[in-house]
Amino acid sequence: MLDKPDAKDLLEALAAFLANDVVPELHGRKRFHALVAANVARILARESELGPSVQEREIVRLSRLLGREPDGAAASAEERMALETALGRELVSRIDAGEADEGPWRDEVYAYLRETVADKLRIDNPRML
Amino acid sequence: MKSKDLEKALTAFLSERSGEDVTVTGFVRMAGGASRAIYGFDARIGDEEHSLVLRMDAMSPALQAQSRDEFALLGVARERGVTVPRVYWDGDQSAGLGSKFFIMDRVRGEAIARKLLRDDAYAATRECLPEELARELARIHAIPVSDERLVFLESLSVAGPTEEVARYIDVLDALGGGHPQPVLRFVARWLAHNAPTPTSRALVHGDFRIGNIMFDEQGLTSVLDWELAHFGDSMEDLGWLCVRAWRFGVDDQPVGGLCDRERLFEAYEREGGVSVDPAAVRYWEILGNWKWAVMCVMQAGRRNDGSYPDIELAAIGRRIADSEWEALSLLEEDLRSAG
Repeated sequence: MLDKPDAKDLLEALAAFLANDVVPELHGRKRFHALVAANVARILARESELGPSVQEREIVRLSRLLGREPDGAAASAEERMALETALGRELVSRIDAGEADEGPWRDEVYAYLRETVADKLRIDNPRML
Repeated sequence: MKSKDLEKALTAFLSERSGEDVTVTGFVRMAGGASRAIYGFDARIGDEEHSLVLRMDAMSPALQAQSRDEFALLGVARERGVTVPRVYWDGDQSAGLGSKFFIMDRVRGEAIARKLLRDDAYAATRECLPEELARELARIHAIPVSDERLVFLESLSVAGPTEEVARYIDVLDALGGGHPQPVLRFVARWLAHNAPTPTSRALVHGDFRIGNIMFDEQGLTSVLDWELAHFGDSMEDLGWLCVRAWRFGVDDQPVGGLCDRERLFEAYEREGGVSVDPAAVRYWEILGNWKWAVMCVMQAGRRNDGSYPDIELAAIGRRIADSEWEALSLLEEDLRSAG
């Protein structure tokens, strides 16, 4: 077991250092890039905290949308990532084939997309929600 | 070409064209990227002092083939009262500067959006800018598409939004690397099936937004970045101006963080623009948010040797969700009314 602090706490400390100590010392383009860097550290802090549950919800939601039993057994991180990608590609090919152009399944797809983007924003930019 | 050699070739070009003795001073690279380079300089031409800009196309022939004839566009726009720098001369490779270029007045002012929207110095500018933007757009859209100097735009214009969407989908297909983008695909289907009937066929600026205009403490000083100009629906420029990314955080003011849509539309009509079709503008706003998301995917894919040239480009992939959320939010109403 790793010692404390964990990734989230370390990344928050990094973000605070960049925003509070580095940014005020810089000007112009470098100052802007330091602000971006602080934001990147905050994204990573949220991803380390929320990433696993967001991915789990995504697999369940996407499986249901595609009429599959959610497969909770995908054990390794690589397997979960591969499953998520395969399901996403299946959805894309059904959208491209026009299956979500109208009707009740279009509304289900829309609701799914809203929830998925909301989960992305919880990590990438929670202020947008 | 080295800066010193470029300065020498430029001086020779200026004396040849003006027939006067020319001295160039303060020659400095101001900005530039993969597709262009911009240099500022002062020139004494005969007895007159000029503050000028040299705008050069990229060296790569592939990019040059795509580049708009901005010299011709700016000339026509200025004649029609659009606020753009005065252009003087243009030349091609044979002029010895290494690529296609033109020379124009150097305009005073600032282009950084965050300063415009936040600095106290620009409070008066923020107040008058919506009407000025509307006036510029109305004048651009009144430029006759039959002007023979603009014939080159014909081959650069797509037939309509459906073709535009198809073109960007091809880009997504080409660089996706198998990473699924269901939101972008879903919105693309809606865009392809809901294109509005064009209000008019006009000269469309194509990238008219905060960030692409120059301003000072009194107001707008120049409309920049004409390289996406084409013929199309004038409503496209109004919709693009409302895209969320150009609000730079002032999200309760849809038009570039400055004002609401109604104020823009009213001013545009008052300044002689065609009658605004709010549903068509809304369509173009959805398309604009979608297109910006696709552009973020493109930017995020632009890595050199496995790493990004700077942190801004590395982070841009994580802005995709912002535009997806905005496009889906705007779509909600339309989906509901369609049943």
